[in-house]
Amino acid sequence: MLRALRSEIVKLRRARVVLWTVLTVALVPFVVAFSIRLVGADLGETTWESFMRLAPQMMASWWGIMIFGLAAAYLFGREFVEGTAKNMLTLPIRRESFVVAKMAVLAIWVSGLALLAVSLEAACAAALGLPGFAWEHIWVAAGESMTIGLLIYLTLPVVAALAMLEKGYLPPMLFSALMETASMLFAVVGWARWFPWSMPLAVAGSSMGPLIHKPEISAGSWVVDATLFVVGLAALIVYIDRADNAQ
Amino acid sequence: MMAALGAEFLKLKRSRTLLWTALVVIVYAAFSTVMIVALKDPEIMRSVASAGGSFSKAAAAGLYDLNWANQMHTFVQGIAGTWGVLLFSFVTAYVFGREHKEDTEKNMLTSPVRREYFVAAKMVVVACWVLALTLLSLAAHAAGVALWGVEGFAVEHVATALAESLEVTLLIYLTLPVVAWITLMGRGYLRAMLFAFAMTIVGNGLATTDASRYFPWNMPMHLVGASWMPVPPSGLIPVSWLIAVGVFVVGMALTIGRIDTADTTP
Repeated sequence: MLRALRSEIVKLRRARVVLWTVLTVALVPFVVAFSIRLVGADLGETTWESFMRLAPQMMASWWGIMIFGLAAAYLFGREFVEGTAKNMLTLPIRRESFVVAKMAVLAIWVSGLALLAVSLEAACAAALGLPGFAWEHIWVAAGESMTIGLLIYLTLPVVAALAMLEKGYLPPMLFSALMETASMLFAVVGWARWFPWSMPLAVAGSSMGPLIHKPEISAGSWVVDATLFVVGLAALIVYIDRADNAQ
Repeated sequence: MMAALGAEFLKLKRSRTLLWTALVVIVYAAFSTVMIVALKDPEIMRSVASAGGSFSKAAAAGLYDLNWANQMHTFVQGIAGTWGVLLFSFVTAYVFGREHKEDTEKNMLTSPVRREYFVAAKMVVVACWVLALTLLSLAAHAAGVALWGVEGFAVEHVATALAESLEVTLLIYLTLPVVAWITLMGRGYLRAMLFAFAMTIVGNGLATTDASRYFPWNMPMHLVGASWMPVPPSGLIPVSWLIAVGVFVVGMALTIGRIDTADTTP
């Protein structure tokens, strides 16, 4: 198991996709800071608290589902795209180990991107010289970002299953894009607490104003999200257990 | 040239991606019609109207009233600000990236055919594909609005939406050679898709600024507005079109330059 985990991490060592996801996530706080400068907003009204809240909000409403979906599609789809699935499926190692190892790597990738977004948001706030600094704002943003990351992570086995079933990146990416749009629409009509992709909007709200009501997620919502994770993971394991090595 | 075009169309005959993109457009249209539930809810509309700022102005201007004119306009805004840039870029990444992914690049590059023909033929296929998706989306939205029994139907609203959506599709199409070039440079889909996503992030960041009309990926949204920001529509200036055409020409030159100098060995 630990070997499988190690080999998954080693596989990412020269993967440019990791760098590209980092660059895309890094773009967000700079675009926000740049647009605040460009519209000439009174920086007196923008405080550390309001600026830092944008980090989890942007993750929940804009980039989280797409970028984390892309990471999942890449980890699970690349074995087919790069023609290594036939090696993976014929090794004398339990096939479930690969799924667990890939999900562990995905968790590290998602957490890393979430923390990077918060760090860069704080750096931009400092660079803009915003008033009202307190460490508490950074901790709150980090906590909310990690919770949003977890909520999205619980949906990722579905994306991973799609990447393996379709043997590539495009269908899972299209699925992620669709779910991102659907998350907004379901939040607008008030069904967010039962739709896993909308649940991240409950943590810090949305940057999209009053059209999106901040949904209240309950214990039932967590049960729905966790069930989706278990079902997705089970589907992945069943698929990989029965997969043929002929590509 | 015609043979290259015929071959490109033939390649799509059993392509599942064609179906996936059509499915995305139809499901998006279905989700959008669910929004009608929100527009019928007086509590939601009251909270939007009392939110202040541009949301109150948009509500006062009747942008959230439930009628055919607004619904058809929201459909065009969906292409401009939600799925158009991403989905059309996916299509471009697929058309240009599959040669590498499916290992047919070496055949294409060693065929006794001018390499520019492949680029031109692929761009024609992309044009047909995105046009078909736009028309399919219009039909699906109109069907959804009709099924909900929204009042105020007039052929004029559909015709206006058609004209606006074609203009929006053209503006997005003009950005696609850059996606094609990035796909060829990255030898795959992922980098091109991340690029398209990054452009939507930048576009949304600039939406309420004066720079919006000079940023090609944001021009469609600038042209028809976005009811969810909300950004009012404000026509493009000639310089905007010049920039959009410039991006197309530069993108085509880069793509042709890349394919002309490409080696058959990866």
